[in-house]
Amino acid sequence: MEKGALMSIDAIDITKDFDGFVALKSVSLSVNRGELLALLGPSGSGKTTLLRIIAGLEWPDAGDIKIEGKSVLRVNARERGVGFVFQHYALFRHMTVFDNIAFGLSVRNRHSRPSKADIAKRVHELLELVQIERLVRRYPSELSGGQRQRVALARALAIEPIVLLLDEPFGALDAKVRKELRRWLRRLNEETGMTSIFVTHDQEEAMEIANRIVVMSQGRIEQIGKPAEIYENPANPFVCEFLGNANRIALTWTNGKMSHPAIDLDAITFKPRLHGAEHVYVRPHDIDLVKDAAGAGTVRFLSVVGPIARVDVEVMAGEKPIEVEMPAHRLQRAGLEVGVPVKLSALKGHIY
Amino acid sequence: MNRDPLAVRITLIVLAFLVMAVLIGLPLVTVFAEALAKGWDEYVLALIDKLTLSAIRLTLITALISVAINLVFGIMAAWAIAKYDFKGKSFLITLIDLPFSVSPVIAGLVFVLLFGLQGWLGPTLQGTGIKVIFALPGIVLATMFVTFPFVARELIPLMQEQGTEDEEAAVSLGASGFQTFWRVTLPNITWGLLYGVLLCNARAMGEFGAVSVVSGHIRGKTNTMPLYVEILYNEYNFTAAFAVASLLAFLAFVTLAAQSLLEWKRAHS
Repeated sequence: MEKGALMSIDAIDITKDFDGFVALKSVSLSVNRGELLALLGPSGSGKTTLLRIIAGLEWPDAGDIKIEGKSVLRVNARERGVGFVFQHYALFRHMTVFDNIAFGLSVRNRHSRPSKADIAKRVHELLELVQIERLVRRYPSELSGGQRQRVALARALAIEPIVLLLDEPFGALDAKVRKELRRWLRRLNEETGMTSIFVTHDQEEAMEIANRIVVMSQGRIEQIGKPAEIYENPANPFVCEFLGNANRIALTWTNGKMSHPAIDLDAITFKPRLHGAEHVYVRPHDIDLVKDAAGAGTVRFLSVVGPIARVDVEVMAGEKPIEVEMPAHRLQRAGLEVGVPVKLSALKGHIY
Repeated sequence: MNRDPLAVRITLIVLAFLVMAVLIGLPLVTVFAEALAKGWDEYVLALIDKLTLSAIRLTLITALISVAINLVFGIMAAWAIAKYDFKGKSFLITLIDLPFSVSPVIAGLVFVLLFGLQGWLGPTLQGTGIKVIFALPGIVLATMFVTFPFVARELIPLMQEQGTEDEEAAVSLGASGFQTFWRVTLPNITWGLLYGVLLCNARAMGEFGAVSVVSGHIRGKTNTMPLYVEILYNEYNFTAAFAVASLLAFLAFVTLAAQSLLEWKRAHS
């Protein structure tokens, strides 16, 4: 009972099929009250479908959705009390910002509808919350993308939802605005404690603001966990490659010891049952580069963006180069340039 | 930019204007010239004639009913096609377009075959005393058939382009189906809808072929304006014929002006 009370949303064995395309295969997920959860995955992974099923905009073929412990499959979107923010905002174009935000309150039946003055008060509170008070009389077409998104957020919040669902909320915005709104969402979640789920295909976005990340692929959940947890210990190759880059290095096994002709793998520890695995996945920043005339690798490409230097090292002609990342200041100290021979050693890796 | 020689450009533009002048301008001028050939008094007398007024009334009633019904059906059909996925959708779209490709005379004949005395439903109807053919219901049916595509055709692409997100947003905010339609869907399609209604109305008032077959041309009873123009003309009553025709021509002008206004509004909304 104690544990149940903490759950805000439970998805149980959700399956959804669109004319032969299986969008969700028996997906189960529990969302804690007050958390900011990211559904992360490539397009076609089923993340948006899951979000829409929770909102009541789509119906599962099998399974159950519980909000606060009660099944809501018989409750339609109108009565679910879920705030939904659409990818393309879906603002009502013939209404002003004010009327857009007031919509959810103004469509209530006479008994529960606030008075005009109360609606106006609430709208202004929300405008203040999303910091666009001065745009109250504008129409959506007169707003920038970021401003529209703020209106969409305020509109969804107006109905005081139990849970806030956001479908790729920052996907269509430019980098600076995106960053600002991300932080804002994070703060909103911390201040109001409103359970929020957002869909994204941007792993950086998910890592930056989510309390927990649900990694999805091809209609299944691959892993659920805190951002650092997932990044440090990806459950499988898909998660490992989707969350940040990873070099896939083919292994040779001799006498229970793995090796690679050009990369030193001695530092990598692994469980005995993983003997004979075909690959090890190594993140670019977990590889050490040393200039070495006898080294098996050659630097092919260098790029420095701010504090990070990215180096592509060719280890075998015709094979995909190994990607390495290091602090920019180390690059010069190590004397690395295009064409220089180098020795590579992996500091850490994941074997499956 | 356009790199055709100036001479070519001028020739083409002048030709286009010339063709329009001969095909459209000249007839229009003729209509008004003939109508007023015997002076204003004769013109006004022809218009306030009892039979003329009856034809005008019938045309207005027919247009009012058929446009109203087509408005409702058109929105329903466009909604179904644009917002739902179902089997036979493209067939339905073809069906909606059918009246454009069928000769109006055929449309009229179909209703005679269905509802006429010798028709399939004729005996049943006679039993109930309802008259369809040679009466208002037949005229309205024939007009509806011919004008059905206008509203639906205008709305389908518009609603398809707008998708269902706005409606979903409204529902998730707690709006009922009716509130969603009235406060979100309808305002989104206002200009397209008015445009469709305008074209539908122009066609409904001007329809000749289909109505001619089902009307029976009973003066003062089942004569619409276009039918009455023909009768007057056949009786060599040119002034009256062109006087009534001038009203239809005037309708065309009003339609054209409203059309331009709507297009401008739509571009600016």
